[in-house]
Amino acid sequence: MTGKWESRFDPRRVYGNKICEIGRRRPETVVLVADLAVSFNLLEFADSCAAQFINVGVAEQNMVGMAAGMALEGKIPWINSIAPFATLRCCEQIRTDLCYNNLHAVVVSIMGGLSGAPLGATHYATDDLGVLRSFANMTILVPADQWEIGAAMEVAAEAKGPVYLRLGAGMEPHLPIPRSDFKIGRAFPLRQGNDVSLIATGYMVHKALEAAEVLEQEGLSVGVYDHPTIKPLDRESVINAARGRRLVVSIEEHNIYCGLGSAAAEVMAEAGMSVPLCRLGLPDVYGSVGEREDLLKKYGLDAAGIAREVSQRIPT
Amino acid sequence: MLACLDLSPNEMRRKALRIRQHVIKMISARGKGHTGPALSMVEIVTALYFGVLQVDPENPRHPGRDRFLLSKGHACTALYAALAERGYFPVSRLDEYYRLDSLLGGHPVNGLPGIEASTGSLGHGLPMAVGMALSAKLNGQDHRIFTVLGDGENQEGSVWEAAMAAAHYKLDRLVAVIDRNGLEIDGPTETVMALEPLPQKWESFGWAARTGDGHDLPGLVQTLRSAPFVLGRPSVVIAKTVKGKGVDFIENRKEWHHRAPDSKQADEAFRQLQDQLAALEKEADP
Repeated sequence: MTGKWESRFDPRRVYGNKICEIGRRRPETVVLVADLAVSFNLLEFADSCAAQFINVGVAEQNMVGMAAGMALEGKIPWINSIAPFATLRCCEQIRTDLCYNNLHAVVVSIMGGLSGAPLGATHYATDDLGVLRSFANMTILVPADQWEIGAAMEVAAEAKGPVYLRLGAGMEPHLPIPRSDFKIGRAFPLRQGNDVSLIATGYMVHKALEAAEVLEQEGLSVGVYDHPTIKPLDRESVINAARGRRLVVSIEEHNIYCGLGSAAAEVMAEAGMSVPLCRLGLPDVYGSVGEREDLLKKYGLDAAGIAREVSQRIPT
Repeated sequence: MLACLDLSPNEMRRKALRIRQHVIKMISARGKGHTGPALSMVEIVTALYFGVLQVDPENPRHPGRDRFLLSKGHACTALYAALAERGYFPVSRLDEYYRLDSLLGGHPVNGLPGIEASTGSLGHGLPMAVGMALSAKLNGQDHRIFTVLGDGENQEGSVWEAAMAAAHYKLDRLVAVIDRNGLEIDGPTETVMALEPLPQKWESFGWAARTGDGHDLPGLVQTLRSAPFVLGRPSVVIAKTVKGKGVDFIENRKEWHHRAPDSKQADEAFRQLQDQLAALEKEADP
């Protein structure tokens, strides 16, 4: 890879720093954490915004219920845990207390996708997006790099209802393409191409860009679309990405069911588009144990795997 | 203006009977509803709205109001009737119960005056009340937060997560009332999943517990007004009640957890309640 890919960041450090800024600026911000203050890099927040910091212990259902009660009283709760516990353990509290009541609160997870893979599938989520996508009022944000995390946090702080913010863990690269004007529901077209469109979210945007370079060497013109918002999905961008192309490929660190690929399929089918869609993700399995990059390779989600799939699936 | 009412015991008992009559009317008119759990809770909500809560029905979101969350949301008909009788909306609005797009649903819906939040999934109300109480504490507000739980609801793990947190944060403006009617859908709580010794369980979680007759209105008012029972601790009242209280063929029958009286049964229930009301009126004005 070229040098521009090598500068890396830790999503948790970015989050921990940014939440301090938001907390100081908006005193109604409260941060609730289920015994993971260190993992979320929240020690500085706990120190500098002590009255806004609440550690509820290992009790995610109560954490979300409490957050709902605080939101009813005008606070803006940021709720933090590891992805399966932040979303699935307290799933019904998110649905009923936050979404049904349409309360402004931000559920933040780390170890979304395969970023927590060494810990095993108990501790990383590849089904969070699908579950939360079916909750009315919910906004789902999956930032792809440091800039998108900060921008997503800014819009989450100002949102009107519940927001899910999915972060990774471990060092991640910056996207080499500058973007501006982050808005909920807006995708970023990062690269133009006439043959194939790769639509990706989160860390997979990097892999999509790498795969596009590989495919270009093979003579294909490949576009890349970055979707930091899974819900509401940028329908217009999906339609633009699909129009006149030979193949659309969705790429996500998630089960192929119910995430970005499913959402894109809904849009394309409803728009009456006949371009084939290939959904890349976990093939309806719980991921195994290993380093993130090794698992991405195993499931064909690295640049070579994506390029291989495109070559095989593109209609001749 | 925020106010706590001060009714005589007789006036309060008559209020409770009128609330019972509304419950029977609402549920029988639509043929659907949780009759038993609503009737068991009537004195608890009557005591709260007519003797304990500092509220302003003209301004239901008054920032200084006492908060009330009905965690056992399935008993909402008793709450709707209490809110109507207290003046949050006209009694005629009770007729909207179960109608299309109504805010008087089978469980409380956010948007009806006097309703703080949509509730009714068991084990959710107490965590939310804990969040409300913690907010009040962080804001330096001294209003109180009341919530009513079903006894079967105590089988939900999230209740105990919240109980632990409330004591940890020393939320002594928080008061939970448990409608201890002894029955859940499948039968007696002690048969389905034993709860006792319930007061000791709450005490061991750091709460100050009181046990009393959940149909004794002056007793309930006195107990609820006196919270916090111990400074620095959340309070819980285990109110011993009779499921279906006030109508003899509904009392203590698990079948009436979610059953509506037919028109004949409704007439009979209404007559029984009317007799009790007449006796109280006679007593008040001999």
